Amino acid sequence: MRAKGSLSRRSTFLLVTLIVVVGTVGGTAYTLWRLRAEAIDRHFDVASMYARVFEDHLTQNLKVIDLILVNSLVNASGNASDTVALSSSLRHAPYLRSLAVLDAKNAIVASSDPRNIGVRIVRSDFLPPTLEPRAILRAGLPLAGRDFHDGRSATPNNPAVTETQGLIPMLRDVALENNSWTTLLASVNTDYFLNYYGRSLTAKAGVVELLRDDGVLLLSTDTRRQPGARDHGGALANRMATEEFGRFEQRLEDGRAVLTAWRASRAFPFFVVLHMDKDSGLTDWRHEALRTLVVVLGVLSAGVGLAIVYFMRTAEAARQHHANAEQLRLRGAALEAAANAIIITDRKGRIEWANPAFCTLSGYTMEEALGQNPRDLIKSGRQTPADFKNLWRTILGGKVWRGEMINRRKDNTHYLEDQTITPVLDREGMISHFIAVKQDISDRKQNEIDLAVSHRHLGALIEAIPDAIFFKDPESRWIITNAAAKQLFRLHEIPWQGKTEMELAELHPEYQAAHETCLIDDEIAWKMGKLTLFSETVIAADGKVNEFEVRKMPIFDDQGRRQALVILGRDITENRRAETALQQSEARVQAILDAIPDFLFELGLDGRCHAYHSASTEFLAAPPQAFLGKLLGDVLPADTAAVVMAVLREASEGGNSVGRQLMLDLPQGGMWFELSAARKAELANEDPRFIVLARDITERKRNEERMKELSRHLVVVQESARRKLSGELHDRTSPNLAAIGVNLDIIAVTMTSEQSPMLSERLADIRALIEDTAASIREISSDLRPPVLDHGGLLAALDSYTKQFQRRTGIVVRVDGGQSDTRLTPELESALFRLAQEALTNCAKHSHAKSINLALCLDGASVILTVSDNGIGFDPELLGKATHAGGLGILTMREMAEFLGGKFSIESTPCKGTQVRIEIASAEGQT
Amino acid sequence: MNMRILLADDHQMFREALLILLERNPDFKVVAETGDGLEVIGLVRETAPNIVCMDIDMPGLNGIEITRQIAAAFPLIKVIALSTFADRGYVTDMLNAGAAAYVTKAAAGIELLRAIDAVSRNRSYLCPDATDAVREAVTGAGERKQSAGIKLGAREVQVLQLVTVGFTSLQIAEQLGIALSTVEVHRRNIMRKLNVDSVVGLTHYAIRTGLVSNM
Repeated sequence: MRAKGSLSRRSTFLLVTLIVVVGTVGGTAYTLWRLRAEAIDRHFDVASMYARVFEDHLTQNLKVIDLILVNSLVNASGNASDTVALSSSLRHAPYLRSLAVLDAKNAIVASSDPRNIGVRIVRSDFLPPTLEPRAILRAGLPLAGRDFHDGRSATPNNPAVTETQGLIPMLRDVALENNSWTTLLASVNTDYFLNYYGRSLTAKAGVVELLRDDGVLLLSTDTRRQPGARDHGGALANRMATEEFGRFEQRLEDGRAVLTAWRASRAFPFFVVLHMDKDSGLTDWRHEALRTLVVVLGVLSAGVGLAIVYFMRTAEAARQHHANAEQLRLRGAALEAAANAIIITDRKGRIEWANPAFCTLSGYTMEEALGQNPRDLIKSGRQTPADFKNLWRTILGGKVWRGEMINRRKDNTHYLEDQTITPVLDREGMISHFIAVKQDISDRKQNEIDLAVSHRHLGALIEAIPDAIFFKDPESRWIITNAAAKQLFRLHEIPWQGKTEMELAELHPEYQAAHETCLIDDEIAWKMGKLTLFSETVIAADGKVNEFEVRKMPIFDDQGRRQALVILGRDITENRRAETALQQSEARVQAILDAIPDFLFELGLDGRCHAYHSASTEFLAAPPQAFLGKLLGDVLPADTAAVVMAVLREASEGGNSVGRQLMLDLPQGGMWFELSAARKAELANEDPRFIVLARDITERKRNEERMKELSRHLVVVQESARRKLSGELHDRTSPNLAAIGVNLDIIAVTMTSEQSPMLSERLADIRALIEDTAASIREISSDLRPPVLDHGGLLAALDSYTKQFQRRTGIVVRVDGGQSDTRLTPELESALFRLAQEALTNCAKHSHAKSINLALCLDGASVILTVSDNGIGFDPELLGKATHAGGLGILTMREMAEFLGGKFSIESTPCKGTQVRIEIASAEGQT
Repeated sequence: MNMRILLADDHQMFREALLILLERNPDFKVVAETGDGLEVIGLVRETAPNIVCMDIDMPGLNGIEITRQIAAAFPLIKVIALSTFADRGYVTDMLNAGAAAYVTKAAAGIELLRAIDAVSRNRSYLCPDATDAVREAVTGAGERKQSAGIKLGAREVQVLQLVTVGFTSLQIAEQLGIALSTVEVHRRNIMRKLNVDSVVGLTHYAIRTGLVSNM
């Protein structure tokens, strides 16, 4: 904008200057041209004036000549005596050279100069041409020579030689009284006219010429002109043919420009022509013009020069002004944009200007802030009056005040600001304004405090670290050390700070080796340019050899120059010792593991094998190496892997898993393993790992099988024994007792009480004994093998047994046998009865039940016995655990059921009761 | 009234004891006895007894079947079932087959005489144990009812009286001059007969039956 303005101003200036110059030059030229035209005009006027004067003079003279000719005729008589008469007529006529009279044959018959007699005159040479005589004066062609006798006619084809005398013949016919005409001839003296013209013509370089009206030059003041010649180029002749007088400018054959004015004679066929030399006519004008030009151009150039100088100065001033304004604008913008809050107040403290940062800082808008006193706006009241007093004293004293101040925002929050107040002096040296630059340093202050705190913390941290820490400069001078380092090198004894390794070695010769090693390692660390580990040995003062793991971290600045070296030395003597101990411990553990015959695996939850241990490899489905890193499912048969995965899930949920068993079909025969698993504690959160122990329990399993077989056998034997015993009791003992009873009754009836009261009482006692015995035998027999089972079938036997059971235990038993009287095989009935009996016995022993439901359901091919109580129940999980009180009973039941090819199941809910369910195929049922 | 009785029991000693018991009564005449179930029908036909004392478990043909045949062929002959057991199945089977009375062998002596007496007067008879079984069959299982027709022996009544007034078994033994174990036997018998399982139950019974005064 500004540059454009300056450009346009310059263009304007140049344009105006150009206009002025052109105008001036143009005006001047125009003026000069006009002056020149006027000068030419003036010359024309002069020429015209001369032409008129000369024409007047010529006409007068010709009239006089005409008169002379007429008068001379009076005096003459046309004979020889006429010469005197003619000569006398010439006495007062210098403009005539001679007079003559022509005869009819146009020959001179009389003349004032007798030498002319006889000269013939060509009448056709005279103008105006007439065939008959007329009383007019006629002009003939000029003659070169003194008079007619030596005159030679000058014609356009043969002009007269220059610088010769000439004459103009004039012819006049005069009528005589006898109507005859006589002709008179006059020789006009050209010199007379030329002299007259030469005297009269004051103008320099002017040429006067006399022309006949047919354009033939009669005489000329220019001696180079030949009389008898035609006019220049015929231009004049053309004009003379139409106008009697006029003027024009022409260029002559010799190249001169002339101003030509002509005038025709009023009475005679002559023209007077004036040629004024144009150049000489313009000389004055030229001088004048030159002077004018010099003056004008001088004045003009001086003016233009002055204007240029003025313009340059103005432009410079404008540029300066513009630059100043730009600078001011920039400064203003800078102040506006400044991050620091800036306010300008007048002397009394009223805000005259504030930048946006101030508004941001204080929370006031510009409108709110302007005209206010900062005291009213942001004074927090947290400053003492003394602070303000000090402030005002400083700034009123013309000095800069700088300080921190707690101020208040519009929203009443406080902030800490760093403030610089500068007084501004006016020209008179008086304070006119104050400029306050503020900066919110709340954060910075906090950062400084934080930094100081973290610095202290860092210092404390470094001090507290048990490892020895050193900071060195690039020259290996020790700058900072911590307590451990000081203790290690006994630095409290020497002024160590700022010393190099070698200086320290001199101070403490016993550490020389350590310092030298350190120096070498330092250089290596510098070369490596990154954290480098070393192992260094320091022999302490007490001779103890300490091994150190030393980390050296070189620090470079941005240009890659060495800046500092941080060294951290860790005493690993103890670690080494611990490591050794650990290795020994591991060896011990390994030995223990080797002594364990079981297989140990470390598995992930996904079944991946991470580690294993086994004393021997012969019992595994695959070599132990094959398990490493693999999933179990890929190595083991699917059902086996499923068991292990179940173990892992259980261990994952409950922390451990005990007692699951699996069988591996190995070349050497089926092998049984018992699995125990525990979650590894240290990996509890992420990828859980489990230690799975597989114990070879094949032998135990075989024993168990044998036991089972044995117990099955036992059941059979027992059953057979029961049956036998029951039969014995039933067939022999009971009837025996009955017989005894009857016999006793007989005795009792026979014997009266009088005979022996004592005896009859005794008999009663015996009878009671027998009754009791019979009852107990009946119970035993029922227990062993109720006869009703054979007789009435299972349902009847159960009914009978439950009656007895109810009587004995007080537990109400409901028997639901349906309406079926289907009989089963005696073995099955016996077994079912036994199972029911066992279940009821268990209930009575453990359940604390109030009632029991016993259901027998014959469902097609199978018979289902269900015994459910409403007792306290038990935790089915505890089943099979040897510690459980009812275990043996349940185990026996299970074995019996399985022995019969049936299924046994038991469900129990604590506090709700227990249900035993036995399902046995009864394909051989009979009615 | 002369009663002709046939004894069918495979236990010879028992049979003989019954024989002695029955022969003591001049009104009773045991016309035949056998231990073989297959012989029974033949003997009945030959001897035409009024009453057949029939053991349920007999070799050959069992008592229930024989009873059924007798009831079919000789409707006038009364069959008294004898059995070691008083299980409901036996009792109902026997009664269904046509038996007029049911007596357990343990109570055979006196009870059998009562049964003969009853059947001879064309009435049926069930010994207390069998009564219980029948009642249970009729009224449903599990109910504990004291049978009205319980017969306690004299010794048992003595023991019961002493028990209900607070004597311990030891004191009762001393009082009655019998062994402690005999007292226990009596107590068990009483409780079984009365179908009670505590001293309180015994006391209730004693008060109800007037064995002891309700103080």
